[in-house]
Amino acid sequence: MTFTKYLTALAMLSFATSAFAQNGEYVTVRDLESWASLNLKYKASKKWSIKLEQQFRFGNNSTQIDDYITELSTNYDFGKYIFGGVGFRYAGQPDRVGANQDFEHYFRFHIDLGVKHAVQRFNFKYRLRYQLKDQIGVSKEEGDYANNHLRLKINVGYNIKKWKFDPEISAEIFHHFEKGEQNGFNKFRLTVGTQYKTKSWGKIGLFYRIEQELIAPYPKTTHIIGLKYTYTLKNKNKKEDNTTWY
Amino acid sequence: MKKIILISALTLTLFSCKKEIFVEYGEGLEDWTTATHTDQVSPNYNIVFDQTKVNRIDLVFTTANWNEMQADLSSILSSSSGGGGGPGGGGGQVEFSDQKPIYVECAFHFNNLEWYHVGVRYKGNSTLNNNTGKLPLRFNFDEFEDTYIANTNQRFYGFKELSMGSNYNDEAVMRDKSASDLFRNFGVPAVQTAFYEIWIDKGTGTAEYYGVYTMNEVVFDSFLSSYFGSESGNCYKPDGDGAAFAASGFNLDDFELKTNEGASKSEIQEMYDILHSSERTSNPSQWRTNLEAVFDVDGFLKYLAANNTLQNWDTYGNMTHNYYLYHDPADGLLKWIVWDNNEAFTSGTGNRSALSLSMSEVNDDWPLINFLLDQTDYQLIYEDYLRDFINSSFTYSRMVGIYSAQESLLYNSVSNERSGFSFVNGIGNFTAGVNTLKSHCQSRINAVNSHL
Repeated sequence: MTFTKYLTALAMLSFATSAFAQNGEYVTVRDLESWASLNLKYKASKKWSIKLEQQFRFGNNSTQIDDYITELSTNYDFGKYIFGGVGFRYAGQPDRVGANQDFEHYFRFHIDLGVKHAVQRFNFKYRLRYQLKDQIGVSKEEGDYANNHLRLKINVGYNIKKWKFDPEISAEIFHHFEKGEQNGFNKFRLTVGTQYKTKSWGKIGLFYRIEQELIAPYPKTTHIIGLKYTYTLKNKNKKEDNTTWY
Repeated sequence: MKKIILISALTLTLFSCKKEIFVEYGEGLEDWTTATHTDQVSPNYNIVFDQTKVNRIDLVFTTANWNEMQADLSSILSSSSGGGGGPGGGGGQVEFSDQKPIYVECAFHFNNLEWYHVGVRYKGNSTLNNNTGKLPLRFNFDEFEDTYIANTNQRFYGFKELSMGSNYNDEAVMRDKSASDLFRNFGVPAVQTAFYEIWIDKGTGTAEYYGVYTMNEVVFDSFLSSYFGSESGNCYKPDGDGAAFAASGFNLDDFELKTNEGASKSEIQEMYDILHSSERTSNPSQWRTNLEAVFDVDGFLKYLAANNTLQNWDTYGNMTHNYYLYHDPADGLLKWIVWDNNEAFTSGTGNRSALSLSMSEVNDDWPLINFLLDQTDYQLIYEDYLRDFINSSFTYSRMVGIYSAQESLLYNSVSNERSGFSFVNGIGNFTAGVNTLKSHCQSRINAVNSHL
């Protein structure tokens, strides 16, 4: 089976069940997504780095694009153990639901604070993130309020001797708070991944993630295959952090 | 290696690929039936707007949702400020925040049936700013359909939205309903109304009585179809300085579209342009012809006659709100629809006075009155409607009969109202309030006769 045939079969499987019925409708409770991102990272100093990311997310069995994401973020190490960061994201999302289907634009801001440490060959990171997401061009008067999340993530990496594909696993839980919406712990993610680093053309990360909604009436499970390419502008005086955040 | 990739892909397909489930509307909702809960039926006015009794609605909130609703209201009230009130108006009115109160969900009970995850929010302007627990409400029966798919297109006997007036500042409790019914009876577009008791469980497990409300159908939900036979025309809710149609302050942003969102507001602009055209003085006959081609002038004059007779001050001529305009596709005319009549049957309040029958005090801040009544032809039509009103809909015997019947209907429900959740505060005040309405009717008939 060629890759094209495989994708075609997936697409047919999706479209076959996506029609609306008169007295009900189909609700997606599981999907296979793929996320692909290109990252340009600049280490301004040993402690400070800036990253520009362009990401595309494909849903509906990875057959249609659901998100166009551009993000600028920066991270700072306050010492050996403490780190923080902020980021600004634009996300464009095609709205495929309802009568008025157009392209929606979102702004997202996040601020991070975390702790990292190593135990023998294990690297641990604990990150708390606050993020605020809001639709651009839709006001509070029109019923659009900021979508806030507190996210707690734990990441563990293991450095295998003489092996280029060091594994990492992470778990993250999301706490949602938004005016007029159901609030509470609404999502968690479990991720396993690895990365391959070359001296000349950057590093490639590959991960598999399962994302589970929690408080929705029909909670959705999303399986995600991610591919991430990062090119770091070299500064030979700086020691690079090898942990990849997916 | 190829086999490993293929097996991995197939495994991923089996356990990860998209899965959909079919959710039938009403699935798992015990009381859901086509007639009571769906949009497959026409609005049932006989049940929802039953004129023979005071119906009861029970709203059951979770504590969290109730608290969120109150916190949101407090936040909005704290961002409101004094001043404003429209052209010609004095100060003292509250400039209410543009922010609409949020919808929260509740279980809605009526006649031993439940409606599920119904959206409820506070509504209104200055009425929300009073120290009372009895506040006006708005229901939206499918507000939360995106979250609860089974609730999609939920209706209350065919109604998607309903508005609950709190009978603010009305010791007789029946002003809102009586005025709306009067307008309808006289042939002026007005929504249907009915009395309801509202009981609220704030998450404690105990229902508390919040008093008698007046249910109003929502203009852009059921009313347009039931009254005009269509809902495809543009329906506007004017609010703000532009709603006066005056040369100063006119702007289309103050004409919120309630149907056909995003459509051109050309008919409003056209009406304004004609209204302010120089032909009004240079060629009045042509001006009237042009105006009558875009605006239902006759209907507006009829409305003015009824409105001034019953002294409904909280609307055009005093305030830049409490009316709708509908661009009726049947004849292409903008039609005047009255809205929110709880301040009717009074000569005014504070520094606001109901308009006189001659409206001689109205200046060009309110051109729909000032410019139209400058025309002798329109003045005569207006006076014919005054005469017609007091001889048909607003006769003393008819109104006393209506007031007495409503007094009997409401008596027990009003008696049970609690302090802090009532604008009556004692059954004696209620009886006195109804008697005031009766004497007001006679005095207004006398006033019209004197004017004519």
